[in-house]
Amino acid sequence: MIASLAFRNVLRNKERSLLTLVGVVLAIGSFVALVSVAAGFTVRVEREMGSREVHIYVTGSRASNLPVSPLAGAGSGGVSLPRDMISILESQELRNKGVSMVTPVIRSHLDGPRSVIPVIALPLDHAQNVFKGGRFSPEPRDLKAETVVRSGPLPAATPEPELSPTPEISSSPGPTPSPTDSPAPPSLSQEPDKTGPAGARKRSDEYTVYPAITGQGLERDIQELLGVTDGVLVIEELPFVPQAKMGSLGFLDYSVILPIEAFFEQRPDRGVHEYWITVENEAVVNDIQALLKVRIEEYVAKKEQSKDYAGARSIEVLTRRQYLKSAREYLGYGWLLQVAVSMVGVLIAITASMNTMLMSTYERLGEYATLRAVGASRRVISLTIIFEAIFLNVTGGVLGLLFGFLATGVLDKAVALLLEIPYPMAEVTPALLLQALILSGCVGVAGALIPCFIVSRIDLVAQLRKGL
Amino acid sequence: MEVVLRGVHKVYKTGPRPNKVLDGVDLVVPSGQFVAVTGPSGAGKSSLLYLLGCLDYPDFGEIHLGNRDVAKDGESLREKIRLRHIGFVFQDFRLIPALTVLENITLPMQLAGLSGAESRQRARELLRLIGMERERDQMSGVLSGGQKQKVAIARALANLPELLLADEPTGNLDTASTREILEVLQSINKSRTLTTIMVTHDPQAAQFAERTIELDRGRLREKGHESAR
Ligand SMILES: Nc1ncnc2c1ncn2[C@@H]1O[C@H](COP(=O)(O)OP(=O)(O)OP(=O)(O)O)[C@@H](O)[C@H]1O
Ligand SMILES: [Mg+2]
Repeated sequence: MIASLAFRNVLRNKERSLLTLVGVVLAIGSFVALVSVAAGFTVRVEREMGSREVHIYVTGSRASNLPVSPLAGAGSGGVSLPRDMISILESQELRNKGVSMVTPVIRSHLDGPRSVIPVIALPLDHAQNVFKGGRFSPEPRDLKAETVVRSGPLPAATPEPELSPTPEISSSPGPTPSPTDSPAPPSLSQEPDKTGPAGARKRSDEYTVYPAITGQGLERDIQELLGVTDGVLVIEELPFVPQAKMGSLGFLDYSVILPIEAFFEQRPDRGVHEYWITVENEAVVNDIQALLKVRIEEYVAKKEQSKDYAGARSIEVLTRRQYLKSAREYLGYGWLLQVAVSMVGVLIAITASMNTMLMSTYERLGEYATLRAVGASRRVISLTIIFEAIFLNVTGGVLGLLFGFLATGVLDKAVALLLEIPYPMAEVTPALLLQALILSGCVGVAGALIPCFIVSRIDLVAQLRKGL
Repeated sequence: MEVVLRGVHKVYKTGPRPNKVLDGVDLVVPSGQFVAVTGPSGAGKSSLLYLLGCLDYPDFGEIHLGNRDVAKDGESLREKIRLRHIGFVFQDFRLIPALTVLENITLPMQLAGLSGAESRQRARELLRLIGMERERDQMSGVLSGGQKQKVAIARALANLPELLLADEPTGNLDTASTREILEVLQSINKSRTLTTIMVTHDPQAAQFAERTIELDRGRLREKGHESAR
């Protein structure tokens, strides 16, 4: 009865209810749209981190610790770790402790025909071990490394004066990991000097590219970009990317996985951004982490002494959980900002809702007095008002969710366009839907509080004398 | 329900000067009696009825409904008394326009916790009593004045009260409707043990009551039994 009276009261002033509804729809919609982007990011970071067979991360400490490309590269650009550091990381001592694989990683991007294509470069034969559960076709080891020759820019190299162009570097094998080799990482410690000092290096339009691995949606882009027609390794499924999204929009956390050797060949002086360390037994992760810290410190100290150190000054050694935590912290600020922005909208909605309820209440004071006179308690009348506000606001909330969904799509497209990222980032999680609904209910209750207070204090007799 | 007033005072202090409306009112209405209260405009008839209806507090004095002095009860208890023991009929009907005729009548029953089926059943009986079964599902706003007042009476009777208070129930009605309403009130009073106190300034209307008392300068004066029966 109370509910149906409340419901009819909503319909009594349709224009007013509608306007309030619009306010709530916009507020909840923007809440969903904004927060879903932040939430989506967090979800993806966690999904990706969780599915990697990597237990310890070695990074330069100024890096942003965002594992998900394309932002993953942000902040890590200048912070590189020397390539020869790998000899420390995969020393016999550490292997004995339980380190089973060390994967040097470079994050970068390619300027694709339609958008920026984020790239992660690592030794190709590590891909399947690192992205455990991923499905590739063909298998990385079935590919011959030198299949593709291409001309054109790969990741932007530091501008170097063009010297005598060599017409044919394409046959250069480079530090090729033989795919048929054991899964042991290629020895990267034999540093760059074979091409000579950086300044003297020849810039060429042609160089060897190893098979690129791409998501299905980006296969075409990559082929166009790299001129690759075959020998492209397509990741059909990664454990952290829903199958449904693999094809759409080229959605893939690492759209392109390139063999790290291709990078090194082009920029022999280049370091790596991260070392990913896989251990045999997760129980010893902390021991290994501690030992790694000590050895890396020694390494850096020694290098600095001989004054040939250009890598990151301070290096972090993080377990998966620590890495995730720092990523979350990083994302947390963004989340907070977005929540704060959307809260402004919510506050406006509360004000609008309160205004509506207040006007309706003042209009109906006589009616509430009648209800009291026929025996309705103050509690019942407050409930009627709260119900009315909740009806209005939850309806607005549900519509706002729909609106938010649409806005999320638009926002994604906008982000993709502005940042030239092929990623839909927003993720509308069930928790977010629930939050939005609860939020709209709260907006309703908040809007009803003052009217309830007013009605509980009306002078019954004065209202009854006034007539209707 | 027997109604007993002892030394009831009511002063309105909101105006420029305190307005003493009731100045020691004493009254005994035996259970089931139909009383008309008359008096000049501004005499305090409505004020008296609001006190009886637990809608207002006296400045002092006792108001016994049954065996209870409701002047001493708190608002929560008076809410329950209003709901279960008192029916109130207003001059301006005061139906809830967003509700249908039937819903207006079932409203107090549902507030009292009756089930939907039970309250609809009882509401239909009340509609039969006032002869408005056909208008059951109309929105209450579209009814004529006489019809509205009949619905208001049905609503007042919803929880089978022992005391019916009516403040100029026919004040807004034409002669035909007035007669109809008064007959309804009279027949209800006769068929149930329902103490009925009706304020009216219409001597004709007062004829329908068993007893008429006049309120003048804050005091009640018995006008004797001018029963129409
Ligand atoms: N809140 C108030 N403050 C001051 N005076 C009031 C207040 N309410 C009522 N009065 C005064 O109390 C007196 C009695 O009012 P009441 O409505 O009880 O009279 P009544 O007998 O019902 O009159 P009528 O026949 O016109 O309905 C009037 O003079 C009125 O002006
Ligand atoms: Mg009056």
